[in-house]
Formats: sequence, C-alpha cells, structure tokens
Amino acid sequence: MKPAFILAAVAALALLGFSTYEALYVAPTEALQGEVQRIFYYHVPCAWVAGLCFFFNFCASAWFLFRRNQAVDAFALASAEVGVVFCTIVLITGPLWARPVWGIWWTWDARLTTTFVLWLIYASYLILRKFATGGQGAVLGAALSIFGFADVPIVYFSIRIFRTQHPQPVIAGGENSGLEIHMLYAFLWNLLAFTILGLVIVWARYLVQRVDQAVEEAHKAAALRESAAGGAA
Amino acid sequence: MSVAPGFGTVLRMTIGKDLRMEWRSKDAINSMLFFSLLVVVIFSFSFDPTAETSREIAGGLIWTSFLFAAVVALNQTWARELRSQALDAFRVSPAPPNSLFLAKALGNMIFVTILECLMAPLFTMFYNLRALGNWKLLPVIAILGTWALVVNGTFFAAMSIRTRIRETLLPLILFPISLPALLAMVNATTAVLTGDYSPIIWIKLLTVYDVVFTTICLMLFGTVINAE
Amino acid sequence: MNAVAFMHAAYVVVWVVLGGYLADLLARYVKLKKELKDLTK
Repeated sequence: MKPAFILAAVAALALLGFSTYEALYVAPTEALQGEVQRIFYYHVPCAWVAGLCFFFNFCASAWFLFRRNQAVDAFALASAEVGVVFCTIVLITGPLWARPVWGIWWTWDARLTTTFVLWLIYASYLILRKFATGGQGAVLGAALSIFGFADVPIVYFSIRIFRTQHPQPVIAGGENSGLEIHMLYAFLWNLLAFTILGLVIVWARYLVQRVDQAVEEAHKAAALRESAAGGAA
Repeated sequence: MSVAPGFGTVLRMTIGKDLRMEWRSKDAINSMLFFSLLVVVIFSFSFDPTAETSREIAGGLIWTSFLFAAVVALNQTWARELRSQALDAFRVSPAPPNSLFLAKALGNMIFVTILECLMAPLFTMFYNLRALGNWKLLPVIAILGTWALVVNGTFFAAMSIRTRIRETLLPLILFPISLPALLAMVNATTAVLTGDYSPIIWIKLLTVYDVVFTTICLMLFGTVINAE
Repeated sequence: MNAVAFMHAAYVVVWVVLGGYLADLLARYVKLKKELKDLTK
C-alpha cells in the first residue's frame, strides 16, 4: 500500500484524536443543553462530509458520462459508498441528540427528511450498481446519480412548502446560532479532522475498487484465453 | 439507400403496437385493476374513517394505490421487448432512441390513466367523497402526477430490467426519487378534497418536477439504452 | 438513561461504524489482491 496513503491515514487519525479531545474535554459545556450538546461536534462534521462525498459522486458521474474513464468511475462508487456510511452516522447520531434534548427521536421537517431521502437515493444507487450485469453498472449508476442530484433541492423545497402548510413546533434554533469561541474552535477542529478522515476513507475505497476492476479485467482476459484455446483445439 | 425512420413515425408505430398488443391480451390492465382494488379494500379495513377523516386521508390512499398499480404497468414495459429481443434490434437500427422512450412512456401514461378513470368512481363511492374545493383541478393533478411517476418509472424500468434482480429493483430506485412528486400529488388532491388550503403551489411544484425530469430522461435515455 | 449516556453512545456509534467499515474495506482489499495474484499467475 502506498506510503502516501499510510501517512495520510495516520495523520487523519491523529487529528481525529486531537479534535475528539477538544470536543469532549476542552470545549465548555453548553448552558441550555448540557453535556449532550457535544454530539454536535461529531454530528455536523459528518453531515458535511456526507454532503461532500455525494457532491463528488455527482461530479464524477457527470464526468464519467462524458469520458468513460475507469478511474473516474471507481472514484464515483467510492464517494457514494463512503457518503452513505457518513449519512448513516448522521441519521443515528441525530436522533441520539434529539431525544434527550427535544424529547423526540425524529420529526419530518425539511432538513431531516431531505437527509433521509438522500440516504435512500444513494442506498438505491449502491444496490443498482451491485446488481447490474456486466459493465453496465457504471453507466446506469451515473445516470441515477444525475437524477438524485436534481431531486435533492426539489425534495427540500417540497417539504419546506409542506411545513408552511402543516406547521409543527419548531425545533430550537440552528446548531450554529451563536457559537461561543472555544466551542467554535472545537467545532472547526472536528470539521477539519472529519474532512481529512473522509477523504482518506474515500481514497481507501477507491484503491479497493481499482483492485476490483483489475480482477474483473483479469477474469475477462482469462475467459477470452480459454475460449480462444477451446476454439483452436 | 436506408432512411432512418422519423421520430414521429417510430412514436406512432410503437404506441400503436403496444396498445394493440395490450388490447388483445389485457394482461397489464387487468392485473393493475385488480391490484388497485385490493389496495383499496385493505386500506378500508385498516382505517375505517369517518367522513371528515376520509377527505383528509383519501388523497394519500388514492395515490398510494395508483403508485403500486403503476409499478405493475412499468415492470412489464420492457419485458415484452426483451422477450422478443426487439430491444437489441432497436439499438442497432438508426431510429432515434428518444422516440422509443417517449412511446413507452406515453403508452404507460395511457394505461395508468385508464386505470385511474376506472378507479376514481370506485374510490368516490367507497369513501363517500365529495370535493369541497375546486374539483376541476383534479384531472390536472392526475395528469401531472401520473406523468411524474410514469416518465421516471419508464426510464428506471429500462435500467432495472438489465440487472440481476430486475423487477425488484424498480421500486427501490423509483420511490426515493419520486418522493417530492408524491408529496405534491397527495397534498394537491387533499387540498381539493378538503378545501382547506390552495393546491396551486403543489401543482406548480409538480409542473417543475415534470419538466426537470422529462428533460433529464430524454437527455440520458440514449446513453442508458446503449450501455454495454 | 441519562443524557450523557446518549452522548457517549453517539461517539461510540461513530467509532464503531467507521472502524467496522474500514475493517471491511481491509478484508475486501486482502481478498481481492489474493484473487488478482491467483488470476495473473
């Protein structure tokens, strides 16, 4: 495995260790929510990384439809899968935060519902790619990715409209409303740590996918050799 | 000298063929009807609503029932072509791929609309519905909503038929993408039935959805049909 | 279950999910490398 990758991985983990320390011990306790608020230092950066991954997937998918480059496709699949992993984390840590603070596990508001739909769209993308036959998965997946990207803003607005017509008690102000300076530091350190960690994990998945592609090619070459040998015999 | 068949020609001929074949066998429409009816019955026993509640939930029930029935129609869209290898023949022909897509989508649109026309009176009877809002908007909502499901559904059916799990994949990829359209259809219908609020914003959203996704489908169909 | 327990649970979930995913990636990598070696022998 490439030394650059190992270096990046170690750096990412070290950074995460430091940022976690900042989040758990250095940042002051929040006045209203108490200790539970510290989930915020993990939850929001993970949401940011998930969004970044899905954006990378859209770019890679669009590029792939123009230039059928195997490496680009590997990157598309890698970023989609890692995006789903981080999105899963967001959907688990979110309710774990909401339950003690607001008394509810979940609400169908614009942000949560859109996150959930995003997860569903990309989970379906992974299933499509997994079960597509031959080399079609790359093209079909890229097409679905375009659909997904166009859909997400529509999803968000449709639920915003829904909530203006059927309002629910509003969940207390955005997580970033008036962050105290030491909390901001902890948050930014975690944002940096998770971004780098996310990129490293995408890189890792990309490397695995490249080997997978090589194996596919090797299978095809072997099958070709066999049929040529069989034909000649 | 070979002349590529024109867009309109392919469109007309494909829709004509599909409608003729369906008229002879009535496979799709029968299974759709029966399925839709079963969904109505099951929901009736699950909810047993009062007249008030009926109007509030009918929109959701009707569209859920139409959605499931539409999936039945969509699944068999390409199956016929695949069986007779017509799809491969089409791919090597110089005919424009979008004409095939539109023909299939419009064919599905006709099937599902027929289903809706047959089911709507049944729904009205079973739930004793009476539109308190502007009932003339209902056909508009029906057309926009059905097209939203059918256009993406026809496209995704073409994709899912080439996977190992075929029909099972279609709802998995169609439903998440269709969520905002479903939200719009259901809310617009409920708005017209209850008269509590205006359906206009939902109708606008459905129109935007239809335009955006029809465009994307037309842009990408050629790519998808020629994949591998 | 007090509020702090929720917070600890959330942190643990993140480590478990990421750790589990990375372990899975490593297993996949090793398996694929071996398969590639066998095929190109």
